[in-house]
Amino acid sequence: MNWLQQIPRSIRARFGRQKLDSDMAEEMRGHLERRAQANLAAGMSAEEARYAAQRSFGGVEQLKEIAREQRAGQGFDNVVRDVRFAFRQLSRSPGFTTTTILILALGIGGVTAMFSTLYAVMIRPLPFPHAERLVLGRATFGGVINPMVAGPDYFDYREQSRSFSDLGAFTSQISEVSVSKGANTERSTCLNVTSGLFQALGVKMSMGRRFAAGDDKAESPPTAIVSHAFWHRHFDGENDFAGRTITIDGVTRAVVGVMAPDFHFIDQPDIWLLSTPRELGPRRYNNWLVVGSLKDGVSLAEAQSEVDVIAAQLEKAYPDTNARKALLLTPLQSAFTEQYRTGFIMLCGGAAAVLLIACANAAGLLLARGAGRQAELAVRAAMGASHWQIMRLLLAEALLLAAAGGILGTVLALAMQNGLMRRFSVETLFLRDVGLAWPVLGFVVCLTVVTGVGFGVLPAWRAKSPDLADAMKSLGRGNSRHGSRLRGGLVAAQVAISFILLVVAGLLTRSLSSLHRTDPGFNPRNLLTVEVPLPPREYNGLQRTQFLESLLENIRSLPGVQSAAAISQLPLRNPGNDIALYDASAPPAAPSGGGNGYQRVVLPGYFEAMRIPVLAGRDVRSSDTRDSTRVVVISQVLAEQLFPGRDPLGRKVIIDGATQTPWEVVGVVGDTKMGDLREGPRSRGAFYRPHGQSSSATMRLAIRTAIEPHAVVTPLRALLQKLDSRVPLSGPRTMEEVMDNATLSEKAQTLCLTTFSLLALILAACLLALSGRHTP
Amino acid sequence: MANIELIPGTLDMLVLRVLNGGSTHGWGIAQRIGVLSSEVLKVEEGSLYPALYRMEQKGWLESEWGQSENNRRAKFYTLTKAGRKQLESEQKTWDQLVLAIGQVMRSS
Repeated sequence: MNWLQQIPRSIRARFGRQKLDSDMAEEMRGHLERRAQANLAAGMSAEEARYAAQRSFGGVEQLKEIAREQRAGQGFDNVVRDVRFAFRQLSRSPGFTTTTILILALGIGGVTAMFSTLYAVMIRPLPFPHAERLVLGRATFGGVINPMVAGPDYFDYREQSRSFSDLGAFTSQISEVSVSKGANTERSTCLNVTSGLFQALGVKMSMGRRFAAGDDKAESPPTAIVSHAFWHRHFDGENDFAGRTITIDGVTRAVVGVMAPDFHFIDQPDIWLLSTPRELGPRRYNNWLVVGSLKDGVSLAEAQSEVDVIAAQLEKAYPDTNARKALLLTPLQSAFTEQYRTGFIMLCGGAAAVLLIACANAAGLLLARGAGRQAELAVRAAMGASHWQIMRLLLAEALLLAAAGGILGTVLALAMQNGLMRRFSVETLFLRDVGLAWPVLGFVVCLTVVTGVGFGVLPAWRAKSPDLADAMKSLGRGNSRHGSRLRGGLVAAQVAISFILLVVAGLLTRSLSSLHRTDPGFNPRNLLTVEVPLPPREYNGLQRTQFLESLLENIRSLPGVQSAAAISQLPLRNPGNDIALYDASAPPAAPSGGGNGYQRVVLPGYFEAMRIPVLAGRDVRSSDTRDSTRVVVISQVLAEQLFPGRDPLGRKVIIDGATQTPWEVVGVVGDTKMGDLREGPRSRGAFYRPHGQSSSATMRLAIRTAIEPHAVVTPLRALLQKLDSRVPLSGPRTMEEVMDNATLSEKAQTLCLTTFSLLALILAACLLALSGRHTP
Repeated sequence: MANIELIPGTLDMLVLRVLNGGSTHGWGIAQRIGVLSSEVLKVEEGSLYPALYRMEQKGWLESEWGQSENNRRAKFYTLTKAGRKQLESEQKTWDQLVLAIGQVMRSS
């Protein structure tokens, strides 16, 4: 017999039970009648015949019961009956039921959300074919991760290494460009890449092709790849793209491909521009991140040792720029997640602790309930319920609770997950969604089921050989010494775990608040920051300076504005661009022996607007032009580094080794946190050059307001529109928002852990109150 | 001859054997067992029905309501293919059992 045949039968048995019962009755009645007739024929009286028939047949109802028990679907019937009964029992004590389900859901939800996020970020393979072979290459200086790599260095690695099937590079920051469409221009985002990047990642195009190795030859026409969304927007989604071109910042480029819509890597730019070796900048500018795909059978260590050899050769060939410089290879996924690892593991620990507490709590509740039911169970046993039947009943209750907790927990987990990802600002990874990690959910649900079943059935176990008299005597008191000892242990464990969680949360809060108290070196209050990229074709260096000066002049007269300033890269908001420089009178013996500082270009009034103290000398002036002496303002740390124990004013520095023009130090200003709030006080200094002497196309404005900073945005836009409608205004944000964003991860961690520990505490308090009630 | 109670576990085999000769109803099965055993084997009539339901559920029998020879509604049982197979295997086991017990009992 095969099981398939059994299915319709058992379904019939389940749903046609009444029909079967009546069939059975009819059949047996028929039999009895025939027996009675036979008896009658044998000479019995009518009544005698019927009695005799019944005697020989046996009890019809008993037989029916036997038959029913033997029938298929009986197990299922029992389960349904048990579940229905358990449901009734639970709904009779709604307080207990809701509490238990909520507790379990919180535990399950928290752990599932945390671990699913952890899994999606750290464990799940990146969405690229052969993701396990992808490595990130980061430059190191004297063993310290930079991490940006110089473009020419990248090309040398690509030429000389044999370990990679493809080696690509991309700029770390997305930039904004103007794309012409007919007479209009559109602001779009773009990312510079080299050929080889998309090959290394194994990216599929939805149309056309990837950048090929020949595309970056000097004689090849400039090329671009556009995103799927941009294609639809800019080219109205036409399917034929042969010969399509796109004009970006005045340069016409051939569109060679349209990216697949699901591609997600670091950022989501509209356009990827192919950079040629010429455009990669000099060897001393480190602007690139390198991604490689290891060849089959090449280990990370082998690739690293090959790259080390090349780095040593480069160091010999270019001692000016490559001294102590190397390339560190790290598996791509772990390179991008290393900054989150500690936080995540800590939070997962917190969530696991909450789950443990939740389980302990549920166990405590079930035990307390069980203790209160000893008498009821004893009565059931005395009424003839078998041990197995009582167990089944309690089992059904426990399973029902665990299932409800599991479902609610899953819903909770789903709700929490996206919030978690956003709060941790991990969207810059290659992820689009987290998704539930089913193994995690499965494990957690199993754990709760085991807890529920274990502690739910314990009372039944104890009721196995019920001393009815004892049980009845304890009726209404409902306790047992064994149960209360167990519950006491649970409470102690819970309080201990909650306490640990609280301490960790406290420490986190402290470090967060100290981060908040960090003095960035300038006053971030009421400071609006925006970006004004000047179209490079329309403005030459001098015109830019003039435009910006008049723009600032106009902004300063806007209502609510106290002061306004312009700088090439704002502190905290635009990190990077650090360059070597040294005292012109004492060129260092070793090429890397001088100093290092963030290079910035400013217009007069920057330090005043930012409230950065001018410690000696002066600010830059509008009279510092190309025709006057080259001047520079340096920060305090840099002054001490370059001219220890001497007055820096009037001394000359050589910036960037390559050009030998000396720049005269005319001022010393206070230090600011340039890249990161977490920078140490003695980290890199900064130097500021006047815009009149080294102009920069994209400038950022810092506007100090007396009113709510965002209120200035609309008049600012109108002003810009009036001065030159081609100049866009992008990314208005207050400095406080920038700083808030910088501490997002810490905030999220603190928030999560504080929530966890509060939950733990509430749960512990619940159990404490509960056990107090049940153990007089 | 006096009635002998069935050896436990042999009822199924007997039912299968009877139905192998053609489909019939519960009453008929009980009668046939009586007739075929020269009224030696007496089926406890009540226990016949649970056995029938069990065997039907195992897929050895199929049942259908029909008209009995005395013009009453009765449930007719028929042997299925699986039932025939079961009968064969039980028959084989039974033969071996009888042979073995016989050998033991006749040994001196």
